[in-house]
Amino acid sequence: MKNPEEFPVPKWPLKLLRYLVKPEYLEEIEGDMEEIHFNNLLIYSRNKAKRIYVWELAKLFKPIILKSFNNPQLIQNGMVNFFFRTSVRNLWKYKLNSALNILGLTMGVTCFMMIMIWINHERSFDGFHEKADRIYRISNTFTSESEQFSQAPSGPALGAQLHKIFSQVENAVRLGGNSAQIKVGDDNYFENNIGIVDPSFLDIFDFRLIAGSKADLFTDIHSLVITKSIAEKYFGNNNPIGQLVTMDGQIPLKVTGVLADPVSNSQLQFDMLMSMEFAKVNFNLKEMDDDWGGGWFHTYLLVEKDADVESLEKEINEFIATKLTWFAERNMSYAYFLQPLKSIHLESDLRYDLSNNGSARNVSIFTTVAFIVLLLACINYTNLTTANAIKRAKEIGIKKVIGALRSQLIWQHLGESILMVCLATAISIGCVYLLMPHFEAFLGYEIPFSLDFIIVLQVVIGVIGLGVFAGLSPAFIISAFQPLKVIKGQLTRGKKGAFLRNSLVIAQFTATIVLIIAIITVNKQMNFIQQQELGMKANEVIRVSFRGIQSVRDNRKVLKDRLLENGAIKAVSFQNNAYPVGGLSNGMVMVETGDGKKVSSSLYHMWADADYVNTFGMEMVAGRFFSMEFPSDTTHGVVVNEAAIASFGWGNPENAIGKEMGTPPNVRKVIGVIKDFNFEGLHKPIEPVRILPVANNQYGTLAIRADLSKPFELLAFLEHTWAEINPNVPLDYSFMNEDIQNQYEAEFNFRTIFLFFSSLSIVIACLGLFGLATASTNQRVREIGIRKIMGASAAGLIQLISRDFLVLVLISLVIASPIAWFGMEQWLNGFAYRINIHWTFIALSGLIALSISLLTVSYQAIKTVASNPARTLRHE
Amino acid sequence: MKKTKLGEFEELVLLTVVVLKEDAYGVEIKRELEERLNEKLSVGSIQSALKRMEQKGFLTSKFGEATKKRGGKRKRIYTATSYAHKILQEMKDIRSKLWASITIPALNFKT
Repeated sequence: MKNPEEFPVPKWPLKLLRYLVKPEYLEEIEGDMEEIHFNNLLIYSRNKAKRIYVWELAKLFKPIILKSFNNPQLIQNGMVNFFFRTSVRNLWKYKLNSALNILGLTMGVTCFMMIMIWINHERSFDGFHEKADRIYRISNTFTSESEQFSQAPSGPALGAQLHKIFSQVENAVRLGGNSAQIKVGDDNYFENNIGIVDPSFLDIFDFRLIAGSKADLFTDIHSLVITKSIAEKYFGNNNPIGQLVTMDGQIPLKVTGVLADPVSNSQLQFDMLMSMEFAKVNFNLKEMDDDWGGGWFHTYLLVEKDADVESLEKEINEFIATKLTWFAERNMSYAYFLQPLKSIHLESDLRYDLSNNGSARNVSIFTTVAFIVLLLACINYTNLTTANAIKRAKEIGIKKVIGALRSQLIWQHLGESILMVCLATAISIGCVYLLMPHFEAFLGYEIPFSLDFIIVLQVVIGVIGLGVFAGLSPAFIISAFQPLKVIKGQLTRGKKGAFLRNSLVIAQFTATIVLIIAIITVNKQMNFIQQQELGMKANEVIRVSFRGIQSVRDNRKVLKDRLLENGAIKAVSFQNNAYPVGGLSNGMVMVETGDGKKVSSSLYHMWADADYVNTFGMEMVAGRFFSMEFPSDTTHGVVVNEAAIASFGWGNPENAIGKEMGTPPNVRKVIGVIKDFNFEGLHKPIEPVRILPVANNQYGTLAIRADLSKPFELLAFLEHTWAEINPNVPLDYSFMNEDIQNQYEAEFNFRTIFLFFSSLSIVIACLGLFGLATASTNQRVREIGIRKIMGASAAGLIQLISRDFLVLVLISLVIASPIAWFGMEQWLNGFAYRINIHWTFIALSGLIALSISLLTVSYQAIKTVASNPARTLRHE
Repeated sequence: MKKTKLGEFEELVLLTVVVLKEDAYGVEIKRELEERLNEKLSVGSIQSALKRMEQKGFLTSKFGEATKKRGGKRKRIYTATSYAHKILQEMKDIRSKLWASITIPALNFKT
């Protein structure tokens, strides 16, 4: 039999027992536990006896048995009660101060939350696809003798064959875009968001299929898969499956499926999908699956789990290089790279990238703004509370006298901070809820918000953390008040207190000044871009797109003559793929450069008629544009822009006239050089373009330059004329300056949001300043009283009070300027066209900061100065 | 104090204390009650009941002897107060009367 004496009570549980149980019960309970353990050892195994001991120990966790961990003094004296009552009284007594504090905190927290929600959304793009981590887009960098650029789409063979050749690639899909006129019954619609995809699309991406069966979606090449919104638009409540629609007046399509609308954080946005086979057959692309070069479709690869992406990339490049001999002979090459799906939205900035890409830079800017705003609110809180604490000095002194420990005071004030932060957060949540719809309306898309445990946890931790952070220094400072000094009224004119408070003011001002400088810079930069000479008269142009419908092409001349009959219309031009907004396509051509080398160059190209330059208000810098007087233009003429000349090294524009482009028999001579015009947005410098005359009647767009002072009249005339001449073709028009606005929409949004949040921070800073000024002048109430009695003038007193603050503002200005300058330089470098940071920005912000402080301080000063010295001096 | 403030478990513990007389200490109370109820009880539940009743005035206690089993720590012997006896008796009477008032034959047990 076991000898129980050799198996004493388990050590650690015993230690725990001794630590937790009330001392007066300890002997008895420890003894009972030991006795039971002893008895158990006689019946059970040692391990089981141990387990029972631990179990019994756990069951001892009842409040009546455990030690109380509050300071016994606290409970015994009813101190807690007292603290609680004084806290509530405080909140109420200093209503103004509390309100200011809560207001400042609320604004800070609301801003922070809204920005974080947006940032979260931006960073969450494409995460909803189940296989997202295995999906890569294969993009490429094209290099020739004359240029190099990176582009998002790749050749069609990649998407058709890579998954058959490489075992690590499980599947692939190509995505192209199209627009068409869709006729449903008697209704005509223009659809710009048509995706052309391989059938593997839904195998790789997760878009929810609401109706139709997945296997049958693309079996018929005339299939059309639509989104829910489109289904409602076309068919209302009727079943869309099996319905027929007509594309571009001739081609019948059948609806085979309905998908849920793509969510806003998907880079792939489409209204409907068509089959790649359709494109192959109808656009004469039967051999495209073997075409390895070029940039046709966005191609996405699904790689197998744990694939070595780097080596796969290498292998793919090596393989494709063997297929690109045609290009290699002409010294052209493609270097392919894989982009992880989720990284594309924020980080990819390639040619022909999907238009809804965001920018990692903007995300980081806004993250910074969010934290600055929050920091401001905290500094605010700290300042206000500390300053206000002086008023509570007596209360604190007395508390200490009746026996409160310093630690208790610290906890109490921390508790108050957390309480205020909680209040502010609660109000913020309400504000965010109210503001979100407006925010979403402004952005143009919805931000879905799901409340999950993690978010709630983050909020709770954030609130407590914030409360502690903001409340820490006031808590410490306050609890350090010495009761005797306090009651005697000798409290802190001390150097230490002043230093801390002044540093806080400086911090607040510095952050504010940085923000003001940033606002001024961003504003000026945006204005600059807006006013940038685009090189064309965009404000006067209307564009009509008719997508190459033959009847319209045939009626060209009639239409043009009729339109020009209207006095408001100044010029009419027909063209193809030549609209200088929204991107152009590019193509290759042989060119002899200035130093005699023959290179194959890839340029943007467009096709225009003789009226093009006139219609868009562009300028020629050398030679002439196409003209009816020179019929040879059609086959032998080409116009290039200044950027093209620079890129070919042809010297000045005059030299360019007569240069040849192309390979025999398709050689054209340059007949003119057009002044650079902006067709890509102002982030990039202008790229080379060549303009060709429209051949074979291949017109697709019509542009009209007109006097737009009476837009409705003009539009009515246009619609009427169009309907007469092209009766069965709907009119699809847009104003060019609106199109340009859309192109820059992202930038303008950014500016507005930035301005909004920065202004908010300034308001928060003002609140803090106001509170500080109040506290400071309150401190000096008696001093002011005495000075008044001694004969000081009101003006002189106000000057005195304001002066201290002004010194602080100046110091802040000095600190803030380099920080702001550096930050803004970084941001501006992202623009191809940018302003320079002028000293006036800094001066202006300094002036604003000074005036703000003067205003708030003066208000307080005037109030104090107007007080009756007899009253203020009485309290001694 | 209201009679209903004495919980069911507390009453059982109290009765056990009365039954055990001088042997009424933690371990023994636990053992006796476990035997009668045919259930496992925890030291914690017994102890908390004892302490609560002591605070409410149903029990008094004093230190008893130390034994080797207990590593030299003394037992605490609990005694019911006269107030406790009074309450127990009153509760017993009330219960008996309630039982007697039940006329459903199946429930009419012979005592």
